[in-house]
Formats: sequence, C-alpha cells, structure tokens
Amino acid sequence: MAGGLRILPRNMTGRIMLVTALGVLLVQGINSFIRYEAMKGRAVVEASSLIVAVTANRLDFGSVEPPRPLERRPAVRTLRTQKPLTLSEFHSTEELAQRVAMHLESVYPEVQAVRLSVGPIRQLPDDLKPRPRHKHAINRPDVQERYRRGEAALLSLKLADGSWLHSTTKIRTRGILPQWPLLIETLLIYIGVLIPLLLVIRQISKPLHQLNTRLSNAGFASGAPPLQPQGPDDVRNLIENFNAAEQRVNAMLTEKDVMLGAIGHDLKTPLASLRVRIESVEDEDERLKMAATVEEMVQILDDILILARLGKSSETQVLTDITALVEMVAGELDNDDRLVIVDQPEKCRAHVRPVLLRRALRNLMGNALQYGGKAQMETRCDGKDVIIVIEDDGPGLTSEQLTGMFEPFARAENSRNRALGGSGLGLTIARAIARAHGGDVILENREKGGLRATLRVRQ
Amino acid sequence: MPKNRPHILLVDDELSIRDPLARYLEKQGYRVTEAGSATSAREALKGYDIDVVLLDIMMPGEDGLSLTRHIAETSGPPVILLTARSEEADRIVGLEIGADDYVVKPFSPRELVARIKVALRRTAGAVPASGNGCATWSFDGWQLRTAEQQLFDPHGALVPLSSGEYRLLEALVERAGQVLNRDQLLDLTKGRVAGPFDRAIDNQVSRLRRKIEPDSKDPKYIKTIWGGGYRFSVEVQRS
Repeated sequence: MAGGLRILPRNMTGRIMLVTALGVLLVQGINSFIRYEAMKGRAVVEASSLIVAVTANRLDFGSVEPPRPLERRPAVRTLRTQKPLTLSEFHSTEELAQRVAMHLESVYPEVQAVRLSVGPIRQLPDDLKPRPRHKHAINRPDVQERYRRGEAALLSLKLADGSWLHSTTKIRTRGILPQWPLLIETLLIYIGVLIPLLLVIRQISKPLHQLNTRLSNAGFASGAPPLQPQGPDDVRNLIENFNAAEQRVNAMLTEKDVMLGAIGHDLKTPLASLRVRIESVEDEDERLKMAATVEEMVQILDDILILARLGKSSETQVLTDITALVEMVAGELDNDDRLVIVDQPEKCRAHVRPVLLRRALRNLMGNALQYGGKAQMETRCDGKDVIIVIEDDGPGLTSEQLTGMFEPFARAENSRNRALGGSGLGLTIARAIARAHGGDVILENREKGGLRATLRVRQ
Repeated sequence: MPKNRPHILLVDDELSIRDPLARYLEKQGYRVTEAGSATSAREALKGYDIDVVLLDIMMPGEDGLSLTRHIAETSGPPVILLTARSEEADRIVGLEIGADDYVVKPFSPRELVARIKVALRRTAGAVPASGNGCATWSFDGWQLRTAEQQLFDPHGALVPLSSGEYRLLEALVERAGQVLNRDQLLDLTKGRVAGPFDRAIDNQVSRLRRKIEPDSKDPKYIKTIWGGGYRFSVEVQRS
C-alpha cells in the first residue's frame, strides 16, 4: 500500500490533476467500449444481410452450389452437410435470427429451419472459414492467419431433403470505431477539464503555499506585514484567521519581552542597592557570602534577559574572525592550559553578532571545564558553516540527559544542586544563539568517553 | 592647601542606591555631593570643584549619556558610568562619547572605589584619559581602531582581542619600529586593573601572533629581539 502511494505526486496540484486525468481516461474507455459494442451490432446485421442475400441467391438457382466458380473468391462461403453443425462458442442472435427465419421461410418453402449465430472463426470447419478475396493472398499464411481471427456470422438452413446449408461471412469490425476522432475527442475533454481545474487549484495552492512559508517562521516576530487574503472563500478565511492568530502571538511575544525587560531592570535596582548596603556588614565572611549570592542572582537574571531578548538583539552582524573569537573566549576562561586549541591552518570568518556568539562559546566551554576538567577545541569551516567542536574528558551524559539538556533549567546532576553555579540556562542560551545564526548546538557522547559539543553557525 | 578629600559627584535618580552608596563613599574618605537628576548635576558642577562624576545612564529627563557628552565637551572631571544595561553596545557608546570608565549594576562598591582611584590618579598625573585621540592605525591591510578598541583583518573581519591583547598591540603599533622590552610593555599595557606578570607579556605576544601573523612560527609583524624584547616591524599609518 505504501509502495503504491509513493508513486503518487506528493503535492495537492499533482494529486488532483493525476486523479482527474485517470478518471477522465476511465470514463472515456467505458464510453468507447459501449460505442464499439453498438457498432459491432450493426456489423453483425450487415454481415447477416449479406449471407441472407447470397443464400437466397443460391436457393433461387435451385442449387446450393454456384453454377461456375466465381472470378473472385466469395466473401460468403457455403457448405452442405447432412447433419447440423454443433459449434459450442456460437451463440444465436435471437431477434435477428427470427426476422431472417420469417423472411426465408415465407419466400422459400423448402426451408425447414433457420439458425443464425455468431462466434469465433477458428471454430468453423475449414471449408467455411472466410478466405482472402484475392487469390494470390491465399498462399500467404500471415494474411490467412489475420483473416481467421475475429468472428463470423453463420446462417444454417435445414432444407426439405434433411440436409443443411451453411453459409458464413466474416463480421467486419476493423475500423468501425475510427481512432483519430476518438483521440481528438479525448484531447478536447482533457483541455476542457484539466486547464480550468489547474487554474482553480492554483488559486488555492498559491495562497496556501504562502501561508505555509509564513507559518514555518511563526513566532520569530519578523515584522512582515500581514498576508493578503486571496483565493476562494475557504482559503481566504484561513488566511484571515492566521493573520489574527499571528497578531495575537506577536502581541504576546512583545508583551513577554517588555515584561521581562521591566522585571530585569526593576530587580537590578534593588539588587544594586542591596549590593552597596552589604558593605556595611561587619562580619567579613558573611559579607562575602552575601555578595556572592547577589552576584549569582544577577547572573541568573542576565541569562533570562538574554534568552528573552535574543530575537531583538540590537547588536548588528559583523564579519568576525571566529578562530580568534574562540581563542579569546578560551583565554578568558582558562589560564592554565586546560582548554587546548587544535590548530587549523585556515582561519574561519562568519557574519555573526560577536557578543552573543561569545556568550554561547563561554557557556559551552564553561560547561566543558566544569564537568570535564579539561577540553580540546577545534574550529573548522566548509564555506557554508563554521563548526566549533568542544570535546571534554568528563563523564559524558546518559541518553536521557542528552535529550533533556537543552530544556531551560536542566542540569546534568538531577538534584537542583547549585553548588556548581549557573542558572541552568547555559545550553538553552547557547542553542538559541546558534539557531539565531542559522546553526545549532549538538551534544553527543564521545566514543572514548566524555562529551562532544558541536556549535555550528552559518558563514 | 592640597585637597586631601577628593570630591565626588554622585548622580542617580534611585535614592535606594544613591543614599547607601554616598554613605559608603564618605566612609572611604571621600566628600560626596548627591544629585537626583541631570539638571541638579549641572548645578553642582558649576558650584563645586568636582574631581570625579559617578553617573547613572538611565534617568528620567536628560539621561546620563547626554550629560557625559556635556562634561567631556567642557573638559570637566572624569566620568564613571553606572549602567544597568548589559548590552555591550551601550557601554561602548558611553566610552566613545567621553566617559572614562563604567561599572555595571549591581557593582561591588570596593571595585567602584578602585576605579575611582584609577580615575583620580589619571587626572593627578596628567595621564591622558583613554579615548583621547581616536585614531585608526593601518598596517599591511589591517586596521586597529582605537575608538572602538577593535582590530579588523585585511578581509574586513573583526578579530576579537582580549583587553590585554588589545593594549599590547596598541602599544606596539603606536611605537612601530622601536624595540620595547618587557618592562616597558608592562607599563604601557597596565590598564585599569593591575597588570600581569612578566611572563604574561610573552604569553600575550604568542596569543596575539596566533591571531594576526600569517605564520606564527615565523612572525612578520611582531618580531622578537634577542635580549631586548619585541618590535613591531611593518610600516604603520595613522589616519
């Protein structure tokens, strides 16, 4: 079933067109068959009249054999037998047979019985099989063969002496249904049906396509104007509803950013005040602890604000030497060569927001140092992306942790142990920043143990 | 009579910060004048002989950046910005228009005092404040812009430098062709925070070489002079 479906075109236009085209073809096929049957009926009548005429002629002459051989081979062959022929595949043409019988019996009293039937030529005795008209064709088996395909009409008369007179002729079906008119007719139907259909579908599929593209960017608050409603009413309504929904989502996102910004600012002022007042605490140990707590609160607040405002960063994109950026961040975090940079001959540059990317790198390298103790880094580029790989020697993560690590406030240690510091937003921020640069952050366990973090940004 | 109590003007609209900070600074031996807005700060600047201005950026009415520009234009006292914004761009703007330094809220009062001391030392010793001459130094396709403290490579790409690396490069480029020994470099690169140790200069030179030299094993720009120190060995243009 699935295999059969795969050959269907995947998009709406293709599917509708294909199904319609197949449907038209099927109807046209049935139509042709019905017409063919009707034409064949007429061919049977024609063939029958020919036999009747020839047979009547024979009866008129009082002899069933022609007085002399005809110049040309007769289209009708006749044979006399003592017994009736029994041909299993020949079936009587009831109504036609009755009419012929009435005619012959009324004119020729010697006719005792009349049978008219139609069946395949190959069942006839050889003497009755139709022959080509031209003498020279008789010796050509291929012509003869062709002649003996198809059906023949057989008229059998029982004469007064009890013998039977049979006469046959081929029912001419060749060319009764001309191909050209049929082809042109089919073509016209296709033009008349498929082209308007295509136009209608395009009216639907074009706005749907636009809607789809827009929807895949929903939530990024691109600031693009609302979509123009177009197409039939159903699609038009869909677009209008989408516009309304998008507006609501954008309003909510803006509200969120404004709210978080306000929270950030309003919390920082009392924190700043608290930080100043802490200095008046006499106990130095206590004072340092309080200062550290305030510092931690500020860190968390900063992380939340960065994440919330990522889409609206005012920083512009600058062509930046990423190799140097990695070295700088490593130098900031580490003074005793715990972060080893694997030298690459090529320098990698990319259009990025350097402050944001520095933040992402800080978070990833900080994690590597915190959980791995030591780490090595490599910066590569392939003309499309810059890839920074950070490999640490830590314990790595379970597969369950790997998938959950990017969730906000997730931590490698399950208890929300704050001893190791950080807001739990580090990886979330790193991934969000990488994605804002057309890339991503991937975490995986190394074969030799330890964790590999890969940060990718578009060049 | 020499002033033994430096006079600080503290400008912040938030009383909850201004009040405890003023008391803390007074305890540290400073004379503090408080102002709740840019307008009253202008009054105070006219009325007193102020040594350092601590200035909040976000204030209702005229904001801190505008007041900074005014002070810089009238060659007023050094300004240390107190900013709640974490976006780096705002800090750079502040430094560009003439602020001496900045601290991000919430700041440690001890650190603030350290920075006040640096600012005071600078005015007392007539050491020109950073950002005096905003220049662009060019060498071999590279550009060192002192206003933004940024280095751009011949492709026009920003090459991120740590502040130590930046100061080292600036010192070398400004004195291109001269041999500078480690002590001189240490002096020249000593910034707001206490400088690194002797070996640290060598470390920073090798980091800098990795970032700018086409082949850091065979340096073209920063040459090592045996027994001497380092020399910037390509032609430098100032614009």
